[in-house]
Amino acid sequence: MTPKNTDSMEKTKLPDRTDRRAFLLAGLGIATTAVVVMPSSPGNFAARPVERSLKEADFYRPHDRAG
Amino acid sequence: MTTVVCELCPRYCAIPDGGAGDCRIRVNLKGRLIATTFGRPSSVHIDPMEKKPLYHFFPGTPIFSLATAGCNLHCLNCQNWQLSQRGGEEMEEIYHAPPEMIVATARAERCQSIAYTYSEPIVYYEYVHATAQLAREAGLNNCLISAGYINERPLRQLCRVMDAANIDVKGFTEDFYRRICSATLAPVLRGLVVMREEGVWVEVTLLIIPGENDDPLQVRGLARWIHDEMGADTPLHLSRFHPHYRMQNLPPTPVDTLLRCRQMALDAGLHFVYVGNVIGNGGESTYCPHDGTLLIERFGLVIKENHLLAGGRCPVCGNPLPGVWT
Repeated sequence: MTPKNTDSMEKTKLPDRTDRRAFLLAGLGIATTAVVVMPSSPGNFAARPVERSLKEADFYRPHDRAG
Repeated sequence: MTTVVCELCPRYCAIPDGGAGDCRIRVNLKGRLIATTFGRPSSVHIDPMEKKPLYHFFPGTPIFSLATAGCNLHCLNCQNWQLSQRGGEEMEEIYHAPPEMIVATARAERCQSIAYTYSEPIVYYEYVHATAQLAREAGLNNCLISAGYINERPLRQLCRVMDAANIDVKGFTEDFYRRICSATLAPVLRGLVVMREEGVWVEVTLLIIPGENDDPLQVRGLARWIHDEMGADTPLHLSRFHPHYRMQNLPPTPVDTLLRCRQMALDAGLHFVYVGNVIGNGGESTYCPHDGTLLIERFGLVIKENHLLAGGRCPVCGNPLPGVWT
């Protein structure tokens, strides 16, 4: 059985439906190399975005100011 | 050159210009702290709720799950180290998925809940918060799957948009946290109390590592602490360790050890103690604490039978089972 939340080792890439099927079956404890029938991946996330995120974080302060 | 201090987690990293915090993904850019993985997950999946594990929260439903790189712990046994022990730029796969896209996709995939999980959602805090806020407005549930190593002020703010959490308590001694996780236990326990106070449904996981945290002092100690501080109805998941990352010298946890630990936790007064990562172990189903009726029968991550009545009540005695069911 796949340990808790450990599927990311194979699945740090966006899964297609084949991966999802493999996961679901693995969840049932059934080994599978299925290559089939699942519709598209969850979402249409574009890999490698061109723009760079510059979201400012919350909860920080300059070092010279007391916390 | 302005050094900044990140106040998100108990590390209080002092980060020089151009540097990153211990988590690798919070970067000082000319005196501004930047959350570099905002909208940039590296792992997106649909999981069963039971995988989180959350056993008393909408059982049997799919949960949209995402993670970015980074973590503020460095556990020697990390199961997701390729994701957690890297910065965003080191990942082979990074996706462009701003909060509104995550929520829209979760809805399109008919997921009623979103999990912030896999690595450590605390370190991509701003992404979690923004997504959770939108998800809540859209009527979705938010679940935090975390080690809970966060300061109180940001945690309280996060709790306002969280519905459930599974907090991975790594062990029950400061020595264990220091040696194995490069962290400390006290803030995690404080965080659990804060979540309870804020009304988040909380379940706790303890990964049992042979010879490291499977002694009665730690298992009983944690169970008693949960009983006293969180309540006897707080589910505790005892998970089986498998060799990973820098702890491949140890064997998987013997099932007997897990069952022994489960009995200790039950003896400490907890009503719901589950054994995870072992299929068909006898400790994965839910029973009514009042009359012992089998309420939810599980096999691995699959629910075989759910006998709960509307509102999560036991069909025999009618008492409500603690949790969130509808």
